[in-house]
Amino acid sequence: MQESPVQLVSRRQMLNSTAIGFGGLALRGMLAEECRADSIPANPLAPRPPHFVARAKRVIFLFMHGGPSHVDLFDPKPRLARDNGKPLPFKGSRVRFAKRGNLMQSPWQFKQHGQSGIPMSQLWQHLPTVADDLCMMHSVCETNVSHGGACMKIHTGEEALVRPSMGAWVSYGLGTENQDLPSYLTICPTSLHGGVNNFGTAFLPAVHQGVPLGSPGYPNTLAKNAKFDFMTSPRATSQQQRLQLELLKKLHIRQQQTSGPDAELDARIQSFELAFRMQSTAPEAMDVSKESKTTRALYGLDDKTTANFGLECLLARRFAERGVRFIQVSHAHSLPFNNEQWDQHTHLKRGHSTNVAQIDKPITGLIKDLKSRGLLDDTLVLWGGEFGRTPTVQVAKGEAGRDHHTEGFTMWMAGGGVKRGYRYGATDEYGYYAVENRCTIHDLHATILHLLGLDHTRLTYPHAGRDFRLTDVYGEVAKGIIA
Amino acid sequence: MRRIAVSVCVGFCASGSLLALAADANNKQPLDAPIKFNRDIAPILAANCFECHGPDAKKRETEFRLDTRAGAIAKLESGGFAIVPGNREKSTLIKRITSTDDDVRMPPPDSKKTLTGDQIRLLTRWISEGARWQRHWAFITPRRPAIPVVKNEKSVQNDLDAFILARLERAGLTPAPQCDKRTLVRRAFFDLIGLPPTVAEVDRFLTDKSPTAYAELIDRLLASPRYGERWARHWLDIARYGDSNGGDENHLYPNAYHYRNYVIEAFNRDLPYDRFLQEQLAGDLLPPGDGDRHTSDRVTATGFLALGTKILAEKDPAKKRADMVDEQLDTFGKAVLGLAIGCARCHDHKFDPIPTADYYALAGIFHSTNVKDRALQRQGFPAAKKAYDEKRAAIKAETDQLNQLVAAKIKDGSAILREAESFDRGNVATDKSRYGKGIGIISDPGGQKNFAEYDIKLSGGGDYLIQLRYAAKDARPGRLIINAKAVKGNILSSTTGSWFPNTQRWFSEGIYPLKKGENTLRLESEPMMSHIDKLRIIPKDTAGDLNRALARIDELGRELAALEKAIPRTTHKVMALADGSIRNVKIHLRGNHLSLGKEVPRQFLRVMSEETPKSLPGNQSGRLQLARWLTRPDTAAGGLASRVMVNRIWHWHFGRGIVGSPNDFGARGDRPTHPLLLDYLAHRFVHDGWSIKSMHRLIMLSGTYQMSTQNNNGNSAKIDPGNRLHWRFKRRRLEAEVIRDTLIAHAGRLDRSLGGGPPTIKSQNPSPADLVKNRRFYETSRRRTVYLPVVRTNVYKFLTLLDFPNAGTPVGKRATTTVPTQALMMMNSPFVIAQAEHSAKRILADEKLADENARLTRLYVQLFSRPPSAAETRWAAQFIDAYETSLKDEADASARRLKAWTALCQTLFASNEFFYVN
Repeated sequence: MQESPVQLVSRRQMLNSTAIGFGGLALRGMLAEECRADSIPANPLAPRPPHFVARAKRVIFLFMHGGPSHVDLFDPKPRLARDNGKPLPFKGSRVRFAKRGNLMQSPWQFKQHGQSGIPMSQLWQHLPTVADDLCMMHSVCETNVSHGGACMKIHTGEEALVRPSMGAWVSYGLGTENQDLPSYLTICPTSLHGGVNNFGTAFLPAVHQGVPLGSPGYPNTLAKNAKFDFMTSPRATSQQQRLQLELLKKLHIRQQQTSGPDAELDARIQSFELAFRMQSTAPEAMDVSKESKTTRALYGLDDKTTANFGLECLLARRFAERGVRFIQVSHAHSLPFNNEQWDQHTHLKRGHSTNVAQIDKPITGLIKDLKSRGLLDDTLVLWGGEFGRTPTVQVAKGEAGRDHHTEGFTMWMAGGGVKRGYRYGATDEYGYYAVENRCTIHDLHATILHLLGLDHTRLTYPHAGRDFRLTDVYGEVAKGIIA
Repeated sequence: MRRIAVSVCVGFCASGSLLALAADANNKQPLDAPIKFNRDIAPILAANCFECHGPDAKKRETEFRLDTRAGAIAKLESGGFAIVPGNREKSTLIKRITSTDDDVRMPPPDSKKTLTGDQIRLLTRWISEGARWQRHWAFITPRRPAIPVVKNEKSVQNDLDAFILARLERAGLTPAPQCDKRTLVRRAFFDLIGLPPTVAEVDRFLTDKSPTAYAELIDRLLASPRYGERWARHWLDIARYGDSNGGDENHLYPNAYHYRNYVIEAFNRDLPYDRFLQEQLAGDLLPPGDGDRHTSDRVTATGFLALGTKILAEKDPAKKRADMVDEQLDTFGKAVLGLAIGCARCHDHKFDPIPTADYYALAGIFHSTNVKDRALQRQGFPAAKKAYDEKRAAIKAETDQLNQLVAAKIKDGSAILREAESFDRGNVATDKSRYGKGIGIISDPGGQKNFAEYDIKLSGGGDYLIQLRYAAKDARPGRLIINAKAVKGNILSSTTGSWFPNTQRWFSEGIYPLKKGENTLRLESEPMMSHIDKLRIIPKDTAGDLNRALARIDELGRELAALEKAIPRTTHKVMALADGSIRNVKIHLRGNHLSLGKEVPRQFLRVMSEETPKSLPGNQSGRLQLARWLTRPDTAAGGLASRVMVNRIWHWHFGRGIVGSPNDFGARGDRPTHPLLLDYLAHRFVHDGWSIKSMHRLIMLSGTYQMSTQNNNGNSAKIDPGNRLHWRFKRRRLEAEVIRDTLIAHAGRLDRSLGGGPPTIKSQNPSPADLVKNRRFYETSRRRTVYLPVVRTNVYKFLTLLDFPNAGTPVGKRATTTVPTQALMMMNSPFVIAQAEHSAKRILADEKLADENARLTRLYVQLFSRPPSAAETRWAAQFIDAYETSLKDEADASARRLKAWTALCQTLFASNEFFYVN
C-alpha cells in the first residue's frame, strides 16, 4: 500500500472544528435557511452547557400508550363510590370522545404507602416500595381527546401540526455525552397516533431525531427483537469492511488532491470510520447477557408477564448509563381484548390488571436500580400516558370501561431534582377537573426543560420566519415540584 | 380555560443580524455608500425593533411604530419625535439607541438584543439623509432592470452572467473557469433528469464538437419524460405531497397519486406556471375553454390543497375545519407567495404586514371550499370505450362464425347438443323465464348438493370433447361424472363477469372416451351452481377444421375474458376541491375557534391590494379570483409569485436561491443576494409566458452555470467562503431519490415506465408482517422513487436517512446531513448490496470487455463519467485480490470473484464522487 498517501488533507482542520458523533455532521442545522453560515459547523451533538444549573442530565420517559386511569391507579375518589351510578353533578368537558355515562366507582381499594403516604390502588404490588421516591402530579390537563392529537401533544406540544418532539428539543439544547450512540432513543415505539412524528424533529436538524429500536409498527416490536437498523452487515466480515474503508479513503484523498480540500467531504469519509466503530459499540450497549441474575430478576426478566417491558426498562438504564440524553420506553402493545395497551373503554378490570402486572415490577426495578447506581439523582424518570380516563363509565356492552379524559389526570416523576414522596396538584372530588396547581402539557414541558437546566422560553429554533419553542407561547414551570 | 400567555412569542434571536453581517462581508459596501432602506435599514429594524414597534398592533406598547414611515415620524405620546427626517439631533431614536442608561436604551436589555456600532452609524446616517422609506422589497412590482455593464465582457454568455459578473467584479472576485465537458454532461443529466449519463451518452457529448452540442444536450434532456419525473419531485416538496393523512394516523390517500402524475405531466409539457398555479388553486372553477386542458386534469390539480396532513380523528368539528384551513393557508402562503401567513392566525404578523384580519379574509375563501374525492371522467374514455366495443364485437363475430361449424356437425348428427334444462334426472332449479325469451338455464335452488344427469345415446364409441356453456360471476366449481366415474374435479370453474346470459360462453371441459349406445353424463356442484345453458358432445376424430375451430373458440373465450377484465371505466376518483357553502368567517381571537371576533369579508392580502377586486362574489368561494390575482403580470402579487418561482428554479439548479430562504420572502427572510437579477428573471419569466423550460435554458446556458467547482482561487474563498456571489459552482450531494434511482440504473434494473398507480402498501396500523412486506416492496421496487408511496410519518428509511423532506409542510430547501447512519446504510443495507451485486454481474457478464482493466474502465465511466487513473486501477486490482483472499473458505472461484466485484461496486457507490455532483 506504498502509494497510498493516507493522510486526510484537511483532517486536522476538521478535527479542530468538529468531533463527529452518532449524529455526525448535521450540516443541515447550519445550512438551514435561518442560520446563515456556510462554514463547517461544530458537531451539533457535542454536549452543551445548559442555561442554568441542571437538576437532571437525562430523561427516561415511560410512556403508557392508551391513557391509564388516574382514578383507578393513583388518585382515589371516595365520592365515586358514594355516587356510583349517578350522573356527573356538573357540566362535563365540551369536547368528548364518546357519549358520557354515569359515575363509576373504582373496582380497586386504595392504600397509602411509605412515609409520604402516597395513595396507590391495590393493583400495585411493587411500586409502593418506592413510593417515597415518587412525585405525583395529579393535575395534568389540557390535551386533545383523541389518541392521535393527545399523543402528539404530549410528545411535541402540538396536537395538529407536525412539530419537533420533546426529546429532539432536549437533544438540540444539550447535545449528548456519548458520541457513539444517538442522543435520543425510543425503545419499541408504536406506529400509532402520531407514530414517527412523536419522536421526529420536524424542522430541527435531523441529528436530533429519536432513533427507534424496533420498527414502529402495530403491534410494536418485542423488546428482544428491537435492534438498530443497518447495524450489521448481512454478508461482509469486519476484515472485509476494513478493506472497503481503506479503498474508500484512498479514493477520497485522490479526489481531494485533484479538486481541492473540502471539509464536508472529509467529514463524510470520517462518518464511515465512526459507523464502522459503532457496529461494535451499539450492540454492546444492548447486550444484557452480562447483567447479573439479581439485576435481571429485579426487572422481572425471569417472568413471562414482565419480561418484555422489563427488558425495555433494563435497556433504558444501560443507555442512561452510557450518556444517552433522552430515552423513551413505550408500554404500547395491544391486548387481546383491547386495541391500545391502556385504552380500556371496556374491560377496565382485566385491562388495567394486566397492564399493571406487566409494568409494576420493571418500573420499580428501574427506579431501584438507578438509585443503587447513583443515577437517579440526575436522571428524570417520567411516567404517564397521553391522557387519563373518565370517572364516568363508558356506555358499552360487556365489561365496563372508561372513556378518554383530558381535564385532569395523573403523571409522575422520580429523581432528577423533583421532590420525593410528594403530591402536586389535585383534581376535584370526582377526579374530573384539575382544580389545584393545574399543569398543562406546556407547563409539563416547561418543567422538564427547567429540570434539565433549560429555559423553555430561550430554547428556540428559527424556522419559517419565526423562533419556535417546545412550549409555543405558553408554559409555566411547576416550581412546586422542584426539590 | 385556556391560559393566555402574556409574553407572546418572546425570544426571537437576532439571526437577522447574521444576514446583515453576511451581506456586509459580501457587499463590502463602504460605510459612506448611499443608504438603501431595504438593503441597509429594514433588516436592522425587523430584527431589533418590530417585535414591539412592528405590524402587530397588540404587541405595540405605545403608538410608536417603525414599520411604516407615518408611524415613525409621527409625534410621540411624550411629545418629541423619534425620527425627524434630515435631523439626527432632534430624532429621539438616536438618543435612545445610543444611551448608556439601561432604562433609556433601545432595544431594552431584557430583549437581549443590541445594536452594533455599524448599525447605529447606519441608522444615524439614514435619518440624516432624510429617512427615506421603501416598501418591503418583495411587495414592490418587479420591473425589467438594465443589464449591468461589466469589464470582462467575454465572460458573459447571456444576460444573466452580466448580473453575476458585475457583482463579482464589484467585490473583487474572479469567477472560476468553465468546467470540463465530462463534468458538464454529468451535471446536466443529474440536474435535469436525476439520472447519470450512460457510457454512450458521455461519448456522444464528448465527440460532438459542434458549438451547439451543449444546447442540444439540454433540449434532449428537457424533451425526455425523465425530466418531468425529476422536476415534479421538486414541486412535490413544495406541495408537501403525501399518500397518507399523516399526523396522528396514517390512513392511505388512495387517490392522491393522480395529483402526482398531474405534476409530472405538467412539467413534461411545460405547462405555463401561471396556468399551473391557477389549476392547482381553482382548476375546478376554471371555465371550460379557458386554456387547453381537459377538465379532469384541472380538477386533479386541486389535489394540491386537498392532500395535506389532516387529523381525521379530531373530535371537535370546528377545530378540525379550522386546522384544515390553516394547513391550506400555510401551504398556499409558503408555496406560492413565500410568506408565512400562518403566523397571523393568532396575532397580527410580527414582521410582515399581514394583520389577523387578512388571515381570516383568506381563510373565508378556504372555509367556503370543501375537500372531497371527486369522480371524474377518465381522459380518453370515449376512445377507449370505442376500441373496447369494437374488439368485443369482433371476438363475438368470429366466435359465432366458428360455432357455425359445430352447428353443422350437430345438424348431421355426429355431435350432440343438449339444453341444460333438458336433464333426465336432477335436483337443480330450471329457469326459463327470468333471463329472457327462449333462454333456459339450470342452477341451484339454494345451497345443496346439486346434480343434473343427461342420457346421451351415441351411434359410435370414441373420444368426445365435452363442452359446457354457462355464465358465472363467481367461480362455482363442480365435478363431471361419466358413466358413474368421476373424470374431472374442477369443471364450471371459470367466471364470465356476470350471471346473465349475455356473458354466457362455451368452455371445453376435456376429452373423454364414450361408448357406443347409452352413456350418462352427470354434473355436480355444491352448494351453488353456475348458470348452465347448454352442453355439447363433439367427436374428437372429426376433420381438422372443427378441431381448429374449437381450439380457436376457446382462445377467443380467453381473449374475451381478458378484455372484459380491463373494461374501460368512465370515472376515476381524485382528491380535489369543490366550492362548498360560501361564507365569510369571524376572526378567531388568538387563534381560538371558541372565541370569535368580528366577521371579515373574504379578500386577499391588503399589502398587495392595489389590484384586488372590491369584493368577491357571494356565490363563489373566491379561489378563482385569488388564482387570477396571483398570476396577473406586472402587479405586486403576480410579481411576487413569479419571484418566488424563479428563485425556486434557481435554488434547484444551484443549491441556493438568490433569496436564501425560498419559503420566506418576508421581512425576516433572507434578502436577495442579487436583487436586480431576481427582478430580471421574474420579469422575463412572466414575459416569456411563464415557461419553466425556457428558464432552464436561460440558466443552464449561462457561463455562471457552467463554472467549475474548483476551489483554487484562494482570494475568493476568503472573501466569500459561502459562494453567495457565485464565483464557482457549488458542489452538491445528490438527493435521496437520485441516489436510489442511480443505484437501480447502474444495476440495470430501472423500470422507466411513465406514470404511477395507487399506493399498494399497508400504512395504517401495519403489523410486523406488514412492515416486512412494506420494506420488501420498497427494497425490490424498480420504479423511480417519485412513484414510491410517501407514507407521511413512515417514509421509506433509505429516503429519510438521505434527507427526504418531511411531507407535513412545504419544504423549499432540503437539508444535507452527513451522519454515520447513512454510512451504516451504505455498508449494510441489503438493497445497496443487491444493487452492487447486479452491477457487478453486468460488468462481469459483458463479453465485450476483454480484461480486468476494460471492466474497471467501463465501471468507472458508467459510475463517474470518467476512466480510472492509473493509481485507481492499481488500487482496485489490489482490492479485488485482497478481497478474494479474504474469501478463502469459498471454494467456487467465480463466486469469489463476484463477491469481490460486488464489494468493489459497493465501495464505489459509497464514495464521495458517487454521492456528489460537481
